[in-house]
Amino acid sequence: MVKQHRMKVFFIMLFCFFLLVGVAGCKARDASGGETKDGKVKLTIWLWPGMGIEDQIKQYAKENNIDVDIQISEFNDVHNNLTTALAAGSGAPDISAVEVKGIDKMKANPEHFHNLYDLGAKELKGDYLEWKWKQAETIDGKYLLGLPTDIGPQAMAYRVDVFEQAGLPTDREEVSKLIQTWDDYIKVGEQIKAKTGKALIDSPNALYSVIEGQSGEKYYDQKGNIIVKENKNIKRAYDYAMKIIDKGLATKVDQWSSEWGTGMTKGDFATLLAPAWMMTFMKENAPDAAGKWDLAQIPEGSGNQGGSFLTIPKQSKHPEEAFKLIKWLLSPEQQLVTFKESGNFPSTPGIYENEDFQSVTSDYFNGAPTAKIYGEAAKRVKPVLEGPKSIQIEQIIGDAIKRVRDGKSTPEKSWNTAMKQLDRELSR
Amino acid sequence: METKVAAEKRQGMSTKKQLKQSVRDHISGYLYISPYFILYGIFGLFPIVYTAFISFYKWDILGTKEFIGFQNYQSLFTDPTFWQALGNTFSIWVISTIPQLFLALILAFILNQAFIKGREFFRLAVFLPNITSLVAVSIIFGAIFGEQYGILNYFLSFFGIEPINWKASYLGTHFAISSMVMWRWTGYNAVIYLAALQSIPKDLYEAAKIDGANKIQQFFMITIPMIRPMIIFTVILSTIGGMQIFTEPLMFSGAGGGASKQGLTLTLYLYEEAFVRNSFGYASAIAWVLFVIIVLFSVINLFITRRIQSA
Repeated sequence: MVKQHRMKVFFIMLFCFFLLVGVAGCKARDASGGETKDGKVKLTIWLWPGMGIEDQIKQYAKENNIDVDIQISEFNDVHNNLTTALAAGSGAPDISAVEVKGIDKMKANPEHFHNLYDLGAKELKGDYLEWKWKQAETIDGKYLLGLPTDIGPQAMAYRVDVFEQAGLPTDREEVSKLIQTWDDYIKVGEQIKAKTGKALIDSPNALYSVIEGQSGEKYYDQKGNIIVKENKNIKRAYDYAMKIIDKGLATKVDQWSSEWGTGMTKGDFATLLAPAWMMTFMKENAPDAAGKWDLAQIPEGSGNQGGSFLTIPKQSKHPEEAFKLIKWLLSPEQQLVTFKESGNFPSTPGIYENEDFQSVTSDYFNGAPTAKIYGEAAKRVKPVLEGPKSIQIEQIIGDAIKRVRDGKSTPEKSWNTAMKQLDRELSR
Repeated sequence: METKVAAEKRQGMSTKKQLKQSVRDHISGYLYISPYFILYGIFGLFPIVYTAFISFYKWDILGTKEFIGFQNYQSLFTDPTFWQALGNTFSIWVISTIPQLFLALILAFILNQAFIKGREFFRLAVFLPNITSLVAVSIIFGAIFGEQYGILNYFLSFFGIEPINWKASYLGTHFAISSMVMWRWTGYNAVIYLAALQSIPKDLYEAAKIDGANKIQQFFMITIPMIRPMIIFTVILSTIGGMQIFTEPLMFSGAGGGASKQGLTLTLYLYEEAFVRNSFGYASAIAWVLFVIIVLFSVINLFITRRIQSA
């Protein structure tokens, strides 16, 4: 008798447990799309701030009679949450933005995403830059994880007022001509330092990452082998960063800190090596510096920094609708709209020659023709192949530079420490 | 015949009912407490056990698990970064907790004095930092400790002190993070101490006064021994909290803990391993080692604070 009742208790508890799990399950299922009460398709979309495509998504939803739920969180959180949701098997959105370094991690497990080639992406390939497209493709070329959003060609933003004080030319053509090589750049920096006492660049790390990106190969070769120690260009970039520190031409503030924004406003540093998407950030973080910055070309060729993709996780119940949306949203016409609104540079070369595109200028940058300058830079980009450990390698060498900057180590010692850390990292 | 059977049946049913009643009470009892245990099972116990399970695997959470036995633990103990993180955690704990608890005790003692007017206001005021957003606090402290435009360096410049790069040095980073912890938790501990102080019977002090004990003697001979349980409680709580310090170093030094890993604490290292490097097995091993460290450390602290009585 008692035994029977114990069983009963057990079953009741089990029932409660399933009830709870069921409730929790419902909630999780809600996160990835589904349908609203009136039968409309509902797409959940994860973005981070500054992508500049929210309004267009809303417009599309209205025109096509679907519901969208745009959820914006911090850059790192989007990637972490997506990884967790994919692993958990529920909770992922219908569409998620993924940055280029993030997509390299995802490429190891493409089965978590809808293969966009199956949804008809092949015919779109010609619209986009080839190297950008390849970043979202698995090495065997059979699987496409995402459609390209923006790219990050780099230009040099410079302070007109500081250049003037230093007795340097301020016209953007002349500045581009004056600074043809990195040695020219350092020479200009020395003049600025002597005449105004200001720094040439915000951070030696920024200089490092631009120079390392100029050679076409960075940490990985075309086959996916790690070549950090063999690649002379990495050491060259490191040595230039050391030179800048040694001559006192860089500030000690970290990028993305609040002091960085202050320095940007006050003109503590005369130049900033800025990928196209940085324009939005500068306008927001240093609004008082409007008209004081201008844009010129970077010496020795441009590189690409960042840029993202829109992916469709496998958990999405409406991959067709989601694909239709991103196909429209990332079409050349719509990327032009995005560029005009926010400055995120299109990944569709077809519109670079478009008059409507070329005529875009920015008051913040002293009336500079941003489209022309970044368009020029985009043509000079040498695509770089990133790999699954790019983020860690970048961090290890970046820390090495910072240690020297902060006077905590010497260039050689710091490099050796970094190489030891790298060995440990790669052995795991 | 029929009635007999019916009667037996009835009797049987009534005993059944009786039994049912007592069992029913048991059932309802279990039902009342079940929500807690079910929720704890799902959100508390399961993750703990599962963490132990995956600490024996190599797993990037998207791919497949690979069983590697104790290898995660082995490489953890030879990992210089782990020891560094452990050192940082202890250093920050010492710099923040020890002065903090003394300060809280003094604060509570002052608030408990009869001559203080508007005691409610002060009590609220010292507790207020505790309910502010941790991220907001970290951003503001980050700005205070800035090298170039930080207000602290600005004040120091009046005394002819050169700007200090707080974020770059070990001691500067530990000091800045500790100051955040202190700002936030001193008032919290003071309120706990205050409650303990108010529960001490007044006649003890009166008797001591008659015996000729001065204020300081009263403090050490009556106050401290009487609030000893609360001191133990706060020491253990701040040990557990201090060993798990995370948001402050993350906001102050970034996910990697800075270029020399000067702000890397154990939980920050765990987070970095799990969410930057995606080695969830290794991160789980860190979590379990951290658990053992906290238990050990709490026991040591308990042992030390128990001796307060003899002081």
